[in-house]
Amino acid sequence: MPVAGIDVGSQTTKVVILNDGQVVGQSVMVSAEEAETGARKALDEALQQAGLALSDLTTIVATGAGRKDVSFAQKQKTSLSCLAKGINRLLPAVRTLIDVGAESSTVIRINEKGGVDDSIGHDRCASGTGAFLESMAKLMQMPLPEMGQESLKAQRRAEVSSMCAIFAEQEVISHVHRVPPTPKADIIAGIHGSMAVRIVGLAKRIGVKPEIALTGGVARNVGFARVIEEELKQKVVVPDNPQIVAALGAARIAQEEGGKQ
Amino acid sequence: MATATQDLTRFEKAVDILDSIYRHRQLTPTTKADGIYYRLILEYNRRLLQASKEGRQIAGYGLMIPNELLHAMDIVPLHLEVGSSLMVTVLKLYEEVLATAKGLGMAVELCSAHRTMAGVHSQGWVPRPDFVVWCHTICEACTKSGEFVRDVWGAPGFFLDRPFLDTEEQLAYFADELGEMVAFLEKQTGKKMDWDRLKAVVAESYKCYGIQKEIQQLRALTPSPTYNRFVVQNILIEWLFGGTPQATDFYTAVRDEMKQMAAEGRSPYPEKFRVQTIYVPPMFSWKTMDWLQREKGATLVGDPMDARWQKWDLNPERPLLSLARKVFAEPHGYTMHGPVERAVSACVQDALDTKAEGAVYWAAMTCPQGCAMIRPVRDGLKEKVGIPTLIVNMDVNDPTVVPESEIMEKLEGFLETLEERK
Repeated sequence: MPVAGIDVGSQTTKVVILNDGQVVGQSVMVSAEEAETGARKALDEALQQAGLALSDLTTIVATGAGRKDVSFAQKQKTSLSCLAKGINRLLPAVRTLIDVGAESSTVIRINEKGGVDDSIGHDRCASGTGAFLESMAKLMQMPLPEMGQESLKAQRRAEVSSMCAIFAEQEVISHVHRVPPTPKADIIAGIHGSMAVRIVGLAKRIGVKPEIALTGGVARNVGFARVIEEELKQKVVVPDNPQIVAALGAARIAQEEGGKQ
Repeated sequence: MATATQDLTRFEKAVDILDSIYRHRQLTPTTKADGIYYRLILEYNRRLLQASKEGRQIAGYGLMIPNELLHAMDIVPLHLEVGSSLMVTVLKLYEEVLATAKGLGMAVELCSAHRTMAGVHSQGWVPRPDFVVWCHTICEACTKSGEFVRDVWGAPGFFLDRPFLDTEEQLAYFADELGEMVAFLEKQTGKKMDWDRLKAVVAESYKCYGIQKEIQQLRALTPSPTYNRFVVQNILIEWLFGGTPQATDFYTAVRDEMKQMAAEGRSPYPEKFRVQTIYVPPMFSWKTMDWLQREKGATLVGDPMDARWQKWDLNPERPLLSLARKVFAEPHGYTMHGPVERAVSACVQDALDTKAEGAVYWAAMTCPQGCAMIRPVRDGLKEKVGIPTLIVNMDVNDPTVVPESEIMEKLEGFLETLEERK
């Protein structure tokens, strides 16, 4: 019974199609201005990959910031439940999930059934989110995907504020222009460190229990994943496709919902 | 500081809207208590308007000032915080009023309820208070706002020094302070306090307290026979009418309706979740409370910081000491003044009594006192009751800081969590 999960994020839309519990199609596309249009495009791509048609899907569950605009989904669920369900399918031993998306970061405590025990989020300032990293990449005149590798060359982390994106930007500018300039790798490691300090502080408020996983678009940044480990002083696992975890969770929920029908 | 010039155009408009709301409620009645609530809110504002036109004396009074003293002397009351916020909410004047406060040099980090008050009073949009009484509360904004209102209207004022603890010695000091306040009111009005009348008013207040305690117990029933809107109605009625027969009428109607539902073993809407609400929800989005209950089946069964009264010992022969004790038994005063363990134990005990499955903490981002309690309260509920707490960052008066849709999104996610924990 094919089902689909759609995660309409502020920057990207992700789709996962499950058939008899197996992933048969998935896609990641830049979110369109209209959530519904973007969701449909991403779904079409995943359907094509799976060799299925829209009419083959028994249930579609939408999640993410734009979920309510996806009129063709039978159900909407918030990202919290979907992330928990998704990571539970990929890494069942995970009890703490750190998800860093474009505009928010969330820490979720997960039980053995893949349910949410507790959660805490941060979305009132760009610091600690992917948007902050994107603006820092522009400031450093470096493509965003290269930031992670570059930061691994750092000798030390440059000091960058973790409290405010604007202040952090000023500090980075000062590192670039000082004589001699702070090495690029150290600055980027400092940027990652400033985000990690903020997010780990958030995680500690609800308690960190191993195993720990890092998801969301920012999890693809190996340098950031490393500083999160350093700050937590614990191993952090990053799944192969960290962006699609919420969509996978939505698909799992679709599967469970389908079973009820 | 320039003094304000009274311009009641907007206030009159707000009263007209409140009148329309009340008439609409009469045509489409919900509950008796609801009807009384809308009538009282209208009457409060209409009385102010009338008093202003007739030249009757109006007292501006701040948070935690015992209304009973004003009521016993027949002084028309204007609540500084609620009076302004209510008008701004009804007319949706947030932007204009907060911009005025900004123009006065008030930083956005200051409590928006007090910035609202400053914006409204400095423009003369509420009836001019003839004198102002305000109080030393843990909220430093309250302390400064009373001064501001006094100065902006060029009115005389009295600052009530409220002690922070409730030892017998400090309660006696507070009772003396209340006596000083009475002397100030006598001087302003040219009338002597009728002490027998005050005793009767305090006795009425004590009767109302008893009913509120009954309501607290009824809310704990399963299913809980309470409407979520009681959370906000309770705050307004207690702050605007505390100690008056009108308040007794309202709480009696609430209690009787709850008793009726309890006898029938039902709640107003099917109860799916039992949730504790902590601190003051956003003034601009009270409909969220209804939405939670109607659409999501989440009943707000406990409200430790605004509805969980502590023991109030009445001494009928000593009304001032009795009022001093009441201020410390009042939920907001008891929990907000510290030590923080009081707030934690109130939330924990309330969650245990009401069998709450989760708590929502309304974290007004510009309230240092409220936000300082988040961590200990959250940890207390987790460790001693085993329930999660959702922290909703928001502003109590300014919808542009965190919009209603975002608040609902967070609540929705939290309810999914509670669902999975079942």
